[in-house]
Amino acid sequence: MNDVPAIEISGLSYRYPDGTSALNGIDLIIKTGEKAGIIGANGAGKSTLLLHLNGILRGEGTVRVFGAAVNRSNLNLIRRGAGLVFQNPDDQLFCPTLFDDVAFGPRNMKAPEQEVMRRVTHALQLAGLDGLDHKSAFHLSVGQKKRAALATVLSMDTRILVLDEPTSNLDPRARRELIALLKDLAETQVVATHDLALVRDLCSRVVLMDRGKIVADGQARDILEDRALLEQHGL
Amino acid sequence: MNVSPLRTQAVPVSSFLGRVDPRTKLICLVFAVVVCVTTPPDRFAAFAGYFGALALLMIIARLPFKAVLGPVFVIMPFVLLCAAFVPFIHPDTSGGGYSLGIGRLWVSRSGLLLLWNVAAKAIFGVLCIALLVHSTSFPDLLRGLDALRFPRLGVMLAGFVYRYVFVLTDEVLRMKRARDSRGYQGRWLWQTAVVGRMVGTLFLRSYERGERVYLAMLARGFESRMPLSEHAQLRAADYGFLFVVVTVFLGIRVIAL
Repeated sequence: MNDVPAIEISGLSYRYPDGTSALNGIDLIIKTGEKAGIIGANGAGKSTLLLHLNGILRGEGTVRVFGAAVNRSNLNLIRRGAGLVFQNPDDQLFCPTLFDDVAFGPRNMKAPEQEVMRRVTHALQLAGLDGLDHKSAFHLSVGQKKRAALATVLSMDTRILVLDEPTSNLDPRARRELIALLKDLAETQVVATHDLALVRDLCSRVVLMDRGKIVADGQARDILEDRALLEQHGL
Repeated sequence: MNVSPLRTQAVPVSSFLGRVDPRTKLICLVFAVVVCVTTPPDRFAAFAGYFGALALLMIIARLPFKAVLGPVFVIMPFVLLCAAFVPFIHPDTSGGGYSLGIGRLWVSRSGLLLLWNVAAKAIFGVLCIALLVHSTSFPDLLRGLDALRFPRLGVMLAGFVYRYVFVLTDEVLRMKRARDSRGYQGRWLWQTAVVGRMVGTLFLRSYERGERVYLAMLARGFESRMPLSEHAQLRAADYGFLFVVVTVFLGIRVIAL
């Protein structure tokens, strides 16, 4: 199983309906268990790339998740494999209570109610939110909301976590807590961010994007040390 | 982020009424209101009984009187505005009006009864609803409606409104602050255009948020049908509560007939 890469992208291009080219010939392989940071300036195409990883957007080229090509017929399978955490937790938390939000994924997968309970409890515990399950997202702090958004995906038991700007808007302590949490999780992680310190702390590998293309891919320390390269691409 | 004054909502008191299943409470509410509304207005003893029962419930459940009675004062002006003139213009059919001694101003007895009828029943209904919302959290209420087979789309919509109304009011407040910080006074006619643009911006932002929420739902396996949550069985205490409420209200209604 370890031979199959978690994510395999080849020749991926995507244009938004208004004609703007967002991705341009992306080739990328992410191994199982790897924690990869995707960095780039605003508008480099990071978020668009993430939306391809579980089939919300489908451009030209192929995306494979654990060997299965993403297409219309296996979306459910793909979404069990790759869980996406959006940048703004207010978009991710849409239910009246935190419990319902975290249970949303497992219930969509038709898990029996007892199993749903178990997974929700476990995910909330991992995220350090035990006891808050009957709160409304509106009553949580920004840091709690970010972790809650992560919990909504953890409860789905996905093997890949795809995170869009996990540390944006967080104060230093909430940020440290979130990074510590992510470090402890064994899942394959793909993190899109322009928080370079986060990448340095969390990721072993870095992919640098600019204008819809991958311009550098390698060890985190090599790329993060190369100031000229980063500055050239808006970081 | 959280700047809305609406944020501090009433938190249900942890009393026995708070532990009664929301389904039971909803059924009791509808039952009590129907019984009250169908009572002829001249059965004053019955109305005394209904209000007495509500007061007793409020005391046993240790609900804050002030908070529960608040909504009554909100609706009173409307009720009075509608009904206060009736005694003066409603002609008596069976005679027995009262002269006020000021010129030809008369108050008709049946008109007074009509005013009493509208006011008492409206207040009773509002009190019942206030009791319900002060002893039930909104998510519980939604769950109760869902369990009672209320159309799921309606329950879903109410849930989204509950979730996002505060997010939206926060956004409005932030926008207003940003606007006022740049010297807006709202004094001249041409400045009204600013308000229009703000409403437009708010609409577009909400529309875009709707799309992002939908993406977040898709990402967690949403397939155009809200997943079912299982509902707990009603306990003996819930049936007991229902039985007591039905007996008391029906009893008062029958005795006062």
